[in-house]
Amino acid sequence: MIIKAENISYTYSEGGPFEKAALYNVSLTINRGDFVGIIGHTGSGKSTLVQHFNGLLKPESGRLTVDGIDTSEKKADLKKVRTKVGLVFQYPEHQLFEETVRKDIAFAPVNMGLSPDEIHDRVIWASRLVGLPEEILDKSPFEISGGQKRRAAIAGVLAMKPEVLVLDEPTAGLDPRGRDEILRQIKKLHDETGITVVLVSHGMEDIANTVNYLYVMNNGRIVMHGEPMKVFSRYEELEEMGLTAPQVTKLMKKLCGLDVCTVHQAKEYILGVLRRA
Amino acid sequence: MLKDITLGQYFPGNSFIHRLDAMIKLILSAVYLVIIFLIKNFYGYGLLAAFTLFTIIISTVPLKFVLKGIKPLLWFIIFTAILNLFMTGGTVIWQFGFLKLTKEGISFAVFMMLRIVFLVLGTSLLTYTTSPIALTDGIERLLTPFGKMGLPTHELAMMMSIALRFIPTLLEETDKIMKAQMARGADFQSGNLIKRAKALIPLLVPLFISAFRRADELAIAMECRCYRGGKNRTRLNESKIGYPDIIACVFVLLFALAIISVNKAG
Repeated sequence: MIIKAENISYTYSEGGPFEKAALYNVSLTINRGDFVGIIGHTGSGKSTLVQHFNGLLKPESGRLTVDGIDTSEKKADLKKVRTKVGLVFQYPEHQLFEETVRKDIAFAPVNMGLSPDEIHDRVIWASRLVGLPEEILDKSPFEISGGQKRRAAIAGVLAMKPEVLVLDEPTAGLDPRGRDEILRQIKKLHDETGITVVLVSHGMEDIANTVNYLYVMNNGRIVMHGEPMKVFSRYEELEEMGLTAPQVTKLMKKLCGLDVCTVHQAKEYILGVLRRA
Repeated sequence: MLKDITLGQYFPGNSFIHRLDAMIKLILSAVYLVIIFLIKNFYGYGLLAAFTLFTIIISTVPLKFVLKGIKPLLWFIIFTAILNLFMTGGTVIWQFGFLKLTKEGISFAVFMMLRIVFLVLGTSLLTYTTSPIALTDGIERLLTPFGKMGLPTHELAMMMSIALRFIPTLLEETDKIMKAQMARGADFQSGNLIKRAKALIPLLVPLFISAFRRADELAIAMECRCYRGGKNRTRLNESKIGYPDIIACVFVLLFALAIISVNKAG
Protein backbone atom coordinates (compact mmCIF):
# COMPACT_ATOMS: atom_id res chain seq x y z
CA MET A 1 0.00 0.00 0.00
CA ILE A 2 1.19 3.55 -0.58
CA ILE A 3 -1.12 5.63 1.61
CA LYS A 4 -2.44 4.38 4.89
CA ALA A 5 -4.54 6.43 7.29
CA GLU A 6 -5.31 5.06 10.72
CA ASN A 7 -8.02 6.78 12.77
CA ILE A 8 -7.05 10.29 11.75
CA SER A 9 -8.98 13.28 13.11
CA TYR A 10 -8.63 16.96 12.32
CA THR A 11 -10.30 20.16 13.61
CA TYR A 12 -10.22 23.58 11.97
CA SER A 13 -9.44 26.73 14.01
CA GLU A 14 -9.39 24.88 17.29
CA GLY A 15 -10.59 26.97 20.20
CA GLY A 16 -11.95 29.74 17.95
CA PRO A 17 -15.56 30.72 17.39
CA PHE A 18 -15.72 28.81 14.14
CA GLU A 19 -14.24 25.57 15.45
CA LYS A 20 -15.26 22.75 13.18
CA ALA A 21 -14.38 19.08 13.23
CA ALA A 22 -13.53 18.23 9.66
CA LEU A 23 -12.35 14.66 10.06
CA TYR A 24 -13.37 12.11 12.59
CA ASN A 25 -11.59 8.77 12.98
CA VAL A 26 -10.94 8.22 9.31
CA SER A 27 -9.12 5.08 8.25
CA LEU A 28 -8.35 4.04 4.72
CA THR A 29 -5.69 2.37 2.64
CA ILE A 30 -4.77 3.12 -0.93
CA ASN A 31 -2.76 0.53 -2.79
CA ARG A 32 -0.28 1.10 -5.54
CA GLY A 33 -1.94 1.30 -8.95
CA ASP A 34 -5.42 1.85 -7.53
CA PHE A 35 -7.90 4.28 -9.03
CA VAL A 36 -9.77 5.44 -5.96
CA GLY A 37 -12.74 7.79 -5.82
CA ILE A 38 -13.85 9.88 -2.85
CA ILE A 39 -17.33 11.36 -2.90
CA GLY A 40 -19.24 13.44 -0.40
CA HIS A 41 -21.20 16.67 -0.42
CA THR A 42 -19.59 20.07 0.16
CA GLY A 43 -18.10 20.28 3.63
CA SER A 44 -18.00 16.54 4.22
CA GLY A 45 -14.24 16.61 4.78
CA LYS A 46 -13.02 15.33 1.41
CA SER A 47 -10.65 18.21 0.75
CA THR A 48 -9.32 18.10 4.31
CA LEU A 49 -8.66 14.40 3.94
CA VAL A 50 -6.70 14.71 0.70
CA GLN A 51 -4.58 17.51 2.15
CA HIS A 52 -3.37 14.96 4.67
CA PHE A 53 -2.16 12.70 1.88
CA ASN A 54 0.83 14.90 1.09
CA GLY A 55 1.50 16.28 4.55
CA LEU A 56 -0.01 19.75 4.03
CA LEU A 57 -2.17 19.03 7.04
CA LYS A 58 -1.12 16.74 9.85
CA PRO A 59 -3.62 14.64 11.75
CA GLU A 60 -4.39 15.79 15.29
CA SER A 61 -4.70 12.20 16.33
CA GLY A 62 -4.09 9.00 14.48
CA ARG A 63 -1.38 8.22 11.98
CA LEU A 64 -0.92 8.73 8.29
CA THR A 65 1.87 7.06 6.38
CA VAL A 66 2.90 7.66 2.79
CA ASP A 67 5.10 4.88 1.45
CA GLY A 68 6.16 4.15 5.02
CA ILE A 69 6.87 7.80 5.98
CA ASP A 70 4.83 9.01 8.95
CA THR A 71 3.85 12.61 8.11
CA SER A 72 3.40 13.60 11.78
CA GLU A 73 6.97 12.77 12.67
CA LYS A 74 9.18 15.80 13.29
CA LYS A 75 11.95 14.50 11.05
CA ALA A 76 9.57 13.46 8.27
CA ASP A 77 10.84 14.57 4.86
CA LEU A 78 7.71 16.41 3.74
CA LYS A 79 9.29 17.58 0.49
CA LYS A 80 9.78 13.95 -0.44
CA VAL A 81 6.21 13.14 0.55
CA ARG A 82 4.96 16.00 -1.64
CA THR A 83 6.85 14.73 -4.68
CA LYS A 84 5.52 11.24 -4.09
CA VAL A 85 1.94 12.45 -3.76
CA GLY A 86 1.06 15.12 -6.30
CA LEU A 87 -1.97 17.08 -5.14
CA VAL A 88 -4.04 19.03 -7.64
CA PHE A 89 -6.27 21.49 -5.79
CA GLN A 90 -9.75 22.60 -6.71
CA TYR A 91 -9.57 25.22 -9.44
CA PRO A 92 -5.83 24.58 -9.85
CA GLU A 93 -5.60 27.28 -12.55
CA HIS A 94 -5.76 29.85 -9.73
CA GLN A 95 -2.21 28.92 -8.77
CA LEU A 96 -0.65 29.77 -12.16
CA PHE A 97 1.78 32.68 -11.84
CA GLU A 98 4.68 32.44 -14.29
CA GLU A 99 5.23 34.39 -17.50
CA THR A 100 4.87 31.33 -19.69
CA VAL A 101 3.07 28.03 -19.36
CA ARG A 102 6.43 26.30 -19.80
CA LYS A 103 7.93 28.09 -16.79
CA ASP A 104 4.87 27.37 -14.71
CA ILE A 105 4.95 23.65 -15.40
CA ALA A 106 8.68 23.74 -14.62
CA PHE A 107 8.08 25.31 -11.19
CA ALA A 108 7.92 22.00 -9.30
CA PRO A 109 10.88 20.36 -11.12
CA VAL A 110 12.95 23.51 -10.47
CA ASN A 111 12.04 23.32 -6.78
CA MET A 112 13.16 19.68 -6.85
CA GLY A 113 16.59 20.86 -8.02
CA LEU A 114 16.65 18.88 -11.28
CA SER A 115 19.03 19.57 -14.17
CA PRO A 116 17.84 21.88 -16.99
CA ASP A 117 17.70 18.96 -19.46
CA GLU A 118 15.63 16.87 -17.09
CA ILE A 119 13.32 19.83 -16.43
CA HIS A 120 12.83 20.36 -20.16
CA ASP A 121 12.05 16.66 -20.69
CA ARG A 122 9.58 16.63 -17.84
CA VAL A 123 7.75 19.73 -19.07
CA ILE A 124 7.32 18.16 -22.52
CA TRP A 125 6.33 14.82 -20.98
CA ALA A 126 3.76 16.33 -18.61
CA SER A 127 2.20 18.64 -21.18
CA ARG A 128 1.84 15.74 -23.59
CA LEU A 129 0.15 13.63 -20.91
CA VAL A 130 -2.50 16.26 -20.32
CA GLY A 131 -2.86 16.96 -24.04
CA LEU A 132 -1.46 20.47 -24.15
CA PRO A 133 -0.17 21.38 -27.63
CA GLU A 134 3.47 22.44 -27.63
CA GLU A 135 2.86 25.87 -29.15
CA ILE A 136 0.90 26.84 -26.05
CA LEU A 137 3.93 26.33 -23.82
CA ASP A 138 5.38 29.73 -24.70
CA LYS A 139 2.15 31.64 -24.17
CA SER A 140 1.24 33.40 -20.96
CA PRO A 141 -0.89 31.19 -18.70
CA PHE A 142 -3.36 34.07 -18.51
CA GLU A 143 -4.18 34.22 -22.19
CA ILE A 144 -5.09 30.57 -22.80
CA SER A 145 -8.58 29.10 -22.41
CA GLY A 146 -10.08 27.84 -19.16
CA GLY A 147 -9.71 24.17 -20.05
CA GLN A 148 -6.12 24.71 -21.14
CA LYS A 149 -5.34 26.54 -17.90
CA ARG A 150 -6.68 23.58 -15.96
CA ARG A 151 -4.51 21.18 -17.96
CA ALA A 152 -1.44 23.37 -17.54
CA ALA A 153 -1.99 23.37 -13.78
CA ILE A 154 -2.40 19.58 -13.71
CA ALA A 155 0.75 19.24 -15.82
CA GLY A 156 2.53 21.40 -13.24
CA VAL A 157 1.86 18.71 -10.63
CA LEU A 158 2.51 15.77 -12.97
CA ALA A 159 5.96 17.21 -13.77
CA MET A 160 7.07 16.01 -10.34
CA LYS A 161 6.45 12.45 -11.61
CA PRO A 162 4.50 11.64 -8.46
CA GLU A 163 3.66 8.05 -7.55
CA VAL A 164 0.16 9.09 -6.50
CA LEU A 165 -1.89 11.75 -8.23
CA VAL A 166 -4.63 13.25 -6.09
CA LEU A 167 -7.17 15.43 -7.88
CA ASP A 168 -9.65 17.51 -5.91
CA GLU A 169 -12.67 18.12 -8.14
CA PRO A 170 -10.64 18.32 -11.35
CA THR A 171 -13.73 18.89 -13.47
CA ALA A 172 -15.43 21.63 -11.41
CA GLY A 173 -16.53 24.55 -13.54
CA LEU A 174 -15.64 22.95 -16.88
CA ASP A 175 -18.05 22.47 -19.76
CA PRO A 176 -19.11 18.86 -20.58
CA ARG A 177 -16.51 18.51 -23.30
CA GLY A 178 -13.70 19.84 -21.12
CA ARG A 179 -14.84 17.54 -18.34
CA ASP A 180 -14.86 14.44 -20.51
CA GLU A 181 -11.46 15.25 -21.95
CA ILE A 182 -9.83 15.77 -18.55
CA LEU A 183 -11.34 12.54 -17.22
CA ARG A 184 -10.33 10.60 -20.30
CA GLN A 185 -6.78 11.85 -19.98
CA ILE A 186 -6.59 10.97 -16.30
CA LYS A 187 -7.87 7.48 -17.07
CA LYS A 188 -5.37 7.14 -19.92
CA LEU A 189 -2.59 8.31 -17.63
CA HIS A 190 -3.56 5.67 -15.09
CA ASP A 191 -3.75 2.90 -17.67
CA GLU A 192 -0.48 3.80 -19.38
CA THR A 193 1.80 4.65 -16.48
CA GLY A 194 0.21 2.62 -13.70
CA ILE A 195 0.18 5.71 -11.47
CA THR A 196 -2.09 5.59 -8.42
CA VAL A 197 -4.95 8.05 -8.78
CA VAL A 198 -7.27 9.48 -6.13
CA LEU A 199 -10.21 11.35 -7.61
CA VAL A 200 -12.37 13.58 -5.42
CA SER A 201 -15.63 14.53 -7.04
CA HIS A 202 -19.31 14.95 -6.68
CA GLY A 203 -20.06 14.12 -10.25
CA MET A 204 -21.35 10.59 -9.85
CA GLU A 205 -21.09 9.81 -13.55
CA ASP A 206 -17.42 10.89 -13.54
CA ILE A 207 -16.68 8.53 -10.69
CA ALA A 208 -18.69 5.57 -11.97
CA ASN A 209 -16.90 5.59 -15.29
CA THR A 210 -13.37 5.70 -13.93
CA VAL A 211 -12.65 4.47 -10.42
CA ASN A 212 -12.31 0.90 -9.20
CA TYR A 213 -12.78 1.63 -5.51
CA LEU A 214 -14.95 4.22 -3.85
CA TYR A 215 -15.08 5.94 -0.46
CA VAL A 216 -18.14 7.93 0.60
CA MET A 217 -17.69 10.69 3.16
CA ASN A 218 -20.33 12.35 5.30
CA ASN A 219 -19.78 14.78 8.21
CA GLY A 220 -16.08 14.01 8.40
CA ARG A 221 -16.46 10.25 8.46
CA ILE A 222 -16.16 7.50 5.90
CA VAL A 223 -19.64 6.03 5.82
CA MET A 224 -19.41 3.59 2.94
CA HIS A 225 -16.71 2.06 0.84
CA GLY A 226 -16.42 -0.61 -1.78
CA GLU A 227 -16.62 -1.09 -5.50
CA PRO A 228 -18.58 1.69 -7.20
CA MET A 229 -21.35 -0.65 -8.26
CA LYS A 230 -21.88 -1.89 -4.72
CA VAL A 231 -21.85 1.63 -3.30
CA PHE A 232 -24.20 3.01 -5.93
CA SER A 233 -26.63 0.14 -5.45
CA ARG A 234 -27.36 1.68 -2.04
CA TYR A 235 -28.45 4.92 -3.65
CA GLU A 236 -31.32 5.50 -1.23
CA GLU A 237 -28.76 5.93 1.55
CA LEU A 238 -26.64 8.13 -0.68
CA GLU A 239 -29.62 10.34 -1.37
CA GLU A 240 -30.23 10.79 2.36
CA MET A 241 -26.71 12.26 2.56
CA GLY A 242 -27.43 14.71 -0.24
CA LEU A 243 -25.59 12.59 -2.80
CA THR A 244 -26.95 10.52 -5.60
CA ALA A 245 -26.10 7.63 -7.88
CA PRO A 246 -25.55 7.88 -11.64
CA GLN A 247 -28.88 8.25 -13.39
CA VAL A 248 -28.29 5.07 -15.33
CA THR A 249 -28.01 3.13 -12.05
CA LYS A 250 -31.42 4.38 -10.94
CA LEU A 251 -32.90 3.70 -14.37
CA MET A 252 -31.64 0.13 -14.54
CA LYS A 253 -32.78 -0.54 -10.99
CA LYS A 254 -36.30 0.58 -11.93
CA LEU A 255 -36.24 -1.29 -15.23
CA CYS A 256 -35.00 -4.64 -14.04
CA GLY A 257 -33.64 -4.36 -10.49
CA LEU A 258 -30.09 -4.67 -11.72
CA ASP A 259 -27.00 -3.00 -10.25
CA VAL A 260 -25.25 -1.16 -13.03
CA CYS A 261 -23.25 2.02 -12.81
CA THR A 262 -22.08 2.95 -16.29
CA VAL A 263 -23.97 3.63 -19.47
CA HIS A 264 -21.72 1.15 -21.22
CA GLN A 265 -22.75 -1.72 -18.93
CA ALA A 266 -26.40 -0.78 -19.30
CA LYS A 267 -26.06 -0.76 -23.08
CA GLU A 268 -24.47 -4.22 -23.10
CA TYR A 269 -27.24 -5.59 -20.89
CA ILE A 270 -30.08 -4.05 -22.91
CA LEU A 271 -28.54 -5.24 -26.16
CA GLY A 272 -28.27 -8.74 -24.68
CA VAL A 273 -31.96 -8.71 -23.78
CA LEU A 274 -32.91 -7.42 -27.24
CA ARG A 275 -30.87 -10.13 -28.95
CA ARG A 276 -32.53 -12.83 -26.91
CA ALA A 277 -35.92 -11.38 -27.80
CA MET B 1 1.18 32.18 10.65
CA LEU B 2 -1.97 33.43 8.96
CA LYS B 3 -4.13 32.23 11.79
CA ASP B 4 -2.52 34.81 14.10
CA ILE B 5 -4.09 37.77 12.35
CA THR B 6 -7.29 38.39 14.25
CA LEU B 7 -7.87 42.09 13.67
CA GLY B 8 -11.03 42.74 11.75
CA GLN B 9 -12.68 39.45 12.58
CA TYR B 10 -16.14 39.26 13.99
CA PHE B 11 -16.84 36.94 16.91
CA PRO B 12 -20.59 36.31 16.80
CA GLY B 13 -22.48 36.60 20.07
CA ASN B 14 -25.37 38.26 21.83
CA SER B 15 -23.77 39.91 24.83
CA PHE B 16 -24.46 43.39 26.21
CA ILE B 17 -21.47 44.69 24.24
CA HIS B 18 -22.61 42.97 21.04
CA ARG B 19 -26.02 44.61 21.25
CA LEU B 20 -24.75 48.15 21.78
CA ASP B 21 -25.35 50.56 18.95
CA ALA B 22 -22.37 50.55 16.57
CA MET B 23 -22.05 54.33 16.48
CA ILE B 24 -22.04 54.54 20.28
CA LYS B 25 -19.49 51.74 20.40
CA LEU B 26 -17.26 53.62 17.96
CA ILE B 27 -17.47 56.81 20.01
CA LEU B 28 -16.82 54.94 23.25
CA SER B 29 -13.84 53.18 21.65
CA ALA B 30 -12.46 56.57 20.63
CA VAL B 31 -12.96 57.81 24.19
CA TYR B 32 -11.19 54.68 25.43
CA LEU B 33 -8.22 55.41 23.16
CA VAL B 34 -8.02 58.98 24.42
CA ILE B 35 -8.16 57.73 28.00
CA ILE B 36 -5.22 55.39 27.33
CA PHE B 37 -3.08 58.38 26.44
CA LEU B 38 -4.31 60.48 29.35
CA ILE B 39 -3.10 58.05 31.98
CA LYS B 40 -0.05 59.31 33.81
CA ASN B 41 0.71 56.64 36.45
CA PHE B 42 0.52 52.93 37.16
CA TYR B 43 -2.64 53.24 39.28
CA GLY B 44 -4.33 54.48 36.14
CA TYR B 45 -3.10 51.49 34.16
CA GLY B 46 -4.35 49.19 36.90
CA LEU B 47 -7.77 50.78 36.59
CA LEU B 48 -7.57 50.54 32.79
CA ALA B 49 -6.66 46.84 32.96
CA ALA B 50 -9.59 46.20 35.29
CA PHE B 51 -11.97 48.09 33.00
CA THR B 52 -10.70 46.30 29.87
CA LEU B 53 -10.90 42.89 31.53
CA PHE B 54 -14.42 43.63 32.72
CA THR B 55 -15.51 44.61 29.21
CA ILE B 56 -13.92 41.53 27.69
CA ILE B 57 -15.65 39.30 30.24
CA ILE B 58 -19.12 40.72 29.60
CA SER B 59 -18.50 40.56 25.85
CA THR B 60 -18.23 36.71 26.16
CA VAL B 61 -15.32 36.72 23.69
CA PRO B 62 -12.72 34.33 25.17
CA LEU B 63 -9.80 36.25 26.69
CA LYS B 64 -7.35 33.91 24.94
CA PHE B 65 -8.84 34.96 21.63
CA VAL B 66 -8.53 38.70 22.33
CA LEU B 67 -4.94 38.31 23.51
CA LYS B 68 -4.03 36.50 20.31
CA GLY B 69 -4.40 39.84 18.51
CA ILE B 70 -1.23 41.08 20.22
CA LYS B 71 0.95 38.27 18.90
CA PRO B 72 1.60 39.65 15.40
CA LEU B 73 2.54 43.01 16.98
CA LEU B 74 4.95 41.51 19.48
CA TRP B 75 8.10 42.60 17.63
CA PHE B 76 6.72 46.06 17.06
CA ILE B 77 5.99 46.40 20.77
CA ILE B 78 9.45 45.16 21.76
CA PHE B 79 11.10 47.50 19.25
CA THR B 80 9.16 50.52 20.54
CA ALA B 81 10.00 49.61 24.11
CA ILE B 82 13.73 49.30 23.35
CA LEU B 83 13.77 52.62 21.49
CA ASN B 84 12.06 54.37 24.37
CA LEU B 85 14.28 52.64 26.89
CA PHE B 86 17.48 54.14 25.49
CA MET B 87 16.31 57.31 23.79
CA THR B 88 14.68 59.03 26.75
CA GLY B 89 16.77 61.57 28.58
CA GLY B 90 16.81 61.87 32.40
CA THR B 91 18.57 60.45 35.41
CA VAL B 92 21.15 57.94 34.16
CA ILE B 93 21.16 54.65 36.02
CA TRP B 94 23.48 52.61 33.79
CA GLN B 95 25.66 53.54 30.86
CA PHE B 96 27.49 51.53 28.22
CA GLY B 97 29.11 53.59 25.48
CA PHE B 98 26.38 55.63 23.85
CA LEU B 99 23.63 53.49 25.41
CA LYS B 100 22.13 55.27 28.38
CA LEU B 101 19.55 53.70 30.59
CA THR B 102 17.52 56.29 32.44
CA LYS B 103 14.89 56.05 35.14
CA GLU B 104 12.48 57.99 32.96
CA GLY B 105 13.33 55.71 30.04
CA ILE B 106 12.26 52.60 31.90
CA SER B 107 8.93 53.98 33.02
CA PHE B 108 8.30 55.49 29.57
CA ALA B 109 9.08 52.19 27.83
CA VAL B 110 6.69 50.33 30.10
CA PHE B 111 4.02 53.00 29.51
CA MET B 112 4.47 52.68 25.73
CA MET B 113 4.17 48.90 25.82
CA LEU B 114 1.04 49.07 27.95
CA ARG B 115 -0.45 51.71 25.66
CA ILE B 116 0.04 49.64 22.53
CA VAL B 117 -1.28 46.49 24.19
CA PHE B 118 -4.44 48.24 25.42
CA LEU B 119 -4.84 50.01 22.09
CA VAL B 120 -4.93 46.65 20.31
CA LEU B 121 -7.16 45.04 22.95
CA GLY B 122 -9.69 47.86 22.84
CA THR B 123 -9.90 48.12 19.07
CA SER B 124 -9.98 44.37 18.51
CA LEU B 125 -12.80 44.10 21.03
CA LEU B 126 -14.70 46.61 18.91
CA THR B 127 -14.31 44.55 15.74
CA TYR B 128 -14.91 41.27 17.57
CA THR B 129 -18.26 42.42 18.91
CA THR B 130 -19.49 44.42 15.92
CA SER B 131 -20.34 42.81 12.62
CA PRO B 132 -18.73 44.57 9.64
CA ILE B 133 -22.14 45.73 8.43
CA ALA B 134 -23.04 47.29 11.77
CA LEU B 135 -19.61 48.84 11.97
CA THR B 136 -19.85 50.60 8.62
CA ASP B 137 -23.34 51.67 9.46
CA GLY B 138 -21.94 53.24 12.60
CA ILE B 139 -19.12 54.92 10.71
CA GLU B 140 -21.52 56.28 8.16
CA ARG B 141 -23.80 57.80 10.77
CA LEU B 142 -20.80 59.17 12.60
CA LEU B 143 -19.64 60.90 9.42
CA THR B 144 -23.06 62.34 8.51
CA PRO B 145 -22.15 65.89 9.59
CA PHE B 146 -19.21 65.82 7.17
CA GLY B 147 -21.48 64.55 4.45
CA LYS B 148 -23.16 67.95 4.42
CA MET B 149 -19.76 69.43 3.70
CA GLY B 150 -19.40 67.27 0.58
CA LEU B 151 -17.62 64.22 1.99
CA PRO B 152 -18.83 61.06 0.21
CA THR B 153 -19.62 59.35 3.51
CA HIS B 154 -21.65 56.50 2.12
CA GLU B 155 -18.98 55.59 -0.41
CA LEU B 156 -16.28 55.71 2.22
CA ALA B 157 -18.29 53.52 4.55
CA MET B 158 -19.03 51.08 1.73
CA MET B 159 -15.35 50.87 0.82
CA MET B 160 -14.46 50.15 4.40
CA SER B 161 -17.07 47.49 4.83
CA ILE B 162 -15.96 45.78 1.64
CA ALA B 163 -12.34 45.87 2.79
CA LEU B 164 -13.27 44.42 6.17
CA ARG B 165 -15.53 41.85 4.60
CA PHE B 166 -12.74 40.57 2.36
CA ILE B 167 -10.05 40.18 5.01
CA PRO B 168 -11.07 36.61 5.92
CA THR B 169 -11.75 35.74 2.29
CA LEU B 170 -8.31 36.87 1.18
CA LEU B 171 -6.69 35.08 4.11
CA GLU B 172 -8.43 31.89 3.09
CA GLU B 173 -7.34 32.42 -0.49
CA THR B 174 -3.74 33.03 0.60
CA ASP B 175 -3.81 29.85 2.61
CA LYS B 176 -5.12 27.89 -0.35
CA ILE B 177 -2.57 29.24 -2.83
CA MET B 178 0.24 28.71 -0.34
CA LYS B 179 -0.79 25.10 0.05
CA ALA B 180 -1.08 24.64 -3.71
CA GLN B 181 2.44 25.98 -4.23
CA MET B 182 3.77 23.97 -1.32
CA ALA B 183 2.32 20.90 -2.99
CA ARG B 184 4.61 21.79 -5.90
CA GLY B 185 7.64 22.02 -3.65
CA ALA B 186 7.59 25.76 -2.87
CA ASP B 187 9.31 26.65 0.38
CA PHE B 188 8.14 29.77 2.22
CA GLN B 189 9.89 29.20 5.49
CA SER B 190 13.60 28.74 4.90
CA GLY B 191 16.44 30.63 3.25
CA ASN B 192 17.70 34.18 3.65
CA LEU B 193 15.66 37.36 3.26
CA ILE B 194 16.10 37.67 -0.53
CA LYS B 195 15.28 34.02 -1.08
CA ARG B 196 12.16 34.34 1.06
CA ALA B 197 11.05 37.48 -0.75
CA LYS B 198 11.47 35.69 -4.08
CA ALA B 199 9.51 32.73 -2.74
CA LEU B 200 6.55 35.06 -2.27
CA ILE B 201 6.13 35.70 -6.02
CA PRO B 202 4.27 32.41 -6.64
CA LEU B 203 1.95 33.46 -3.83
CA LEU B 204 1.45 37.16 -4.60
CA VAL B 205 0.80 36.93 -8.35
CA PRO B 206 -2.16 34.53 -8.04
CA LEU B 207 -3.40 36.42 -4.99
CA PHE B 208 -3.48 39.76 -6.82
CA ILE B 209 -5.16 38.20 -9.83
CA SER B 210 -7.84 36.65 -7.67
CA ALA B 211 -8.33 39.88 -5.71
CA PHE B 212 -8.91 41.80 -8.95
CA ARG B 213 -11.24 39.09 -10.21
CA ARG B 214 -13.20 39.20 -6.98
CA ALA B 215 -13.43 42.98 -7.11
CA ASP B 216 -14.69 42.81 -10.65
CA GLU B 217 -17.27 40.15 -9.82
CA LEU B 218 -18.44 42.09 -6.79
CA ALA B 219 -18.84 45.29 -8.82
CA ILE B 220 -20.95 43.47 -11.39
CA ALA B 221 -23.05 41.78 -8.70
CA MET B 222 -23.69 45.15 -7.05
CA GLU B 223 -24.67 46.75 -10.33
CA CYS B 224 -26.97 43.82 -11.09
CA ARG B 225 -28.83 44.68 -7.91
CA CYS B 226 -29.08 48.31 -8.96
CA TYR B 227 -26.67 49.59 -6.39
CA ARG B 228 -26.12 53.30 -6.43
CA GLY B 229 -24.59 55.62 -3.86
CA GLY B 230 -25.99 56.74 -0.54
CA LYS B 231 -28.62 59.31 -1.31
CA ASN B 232 -32.17 58.23 -0.44
CA ARG B 233 -31.04 54.72 0.42
CA THR B 234 -33.01 53.28 3.29
CA ARG B 235 -31.88 50.62 5.71
CA LEU B 236 -33.15 47.16 6.45
CA ASN B 237 -32.36 47.49 10.14
CA GLU B 238 -32.73 50.97 11.55
CA SER B 239 -30.68 50.99 14.71
CA LYS B 240 -31.98 52.98 17.63
CA ILE B 241 -30.10 54.24 20.63
CA GLY B 242 -31.61 52.68 23.74
CA TYR B 243 -31.08 52.35 27.48
CA PRO B 244 -28.12 49.94 27.22
CA ASP B 245 -26.29 52.54 25.13
CA ILE B 246 -26.94 55.23 27.71
CA ILE B 247 -25.78 52.91 30.51
CA ALA B 248 -22.58 52.17 28.58
CA CYS B 249 -21.94 55.88 28.01
CA VAL B 250 -22.44 56.70 31.68
CA PHE B 251 -20.16 53.82 32.65
CA VAL B 252 -17.35 54.98 30.35
CA LEU B 253 -17.81 58.56 31.55
CA LEU B 254 -17.43 57.41 35.17
CA PHE B 255 -14.35 55.48 34.13
CA ALA B 256 -12.86 58.58 32.49
CA LEU B 257 -13.56 60.65 35.63
CA ALA B 258 -11.95 57.94 37.76
CA ILE B 259 -8.84 58.03 35.59
CA ILE B 260 -8.62 61.80 35.82
CA SER B 261 -8.90 61.75 39.61
CA VAL B 262 -6.33 58.95 39.87
CA ASN B 263 -4.01 61.01 37.66
CA LYS B 264 -4.20 63.86 40.16
CA ALA B 265 -3.60 61.49 43.08
CA GLY B 266 -0.43 60.08 41.56
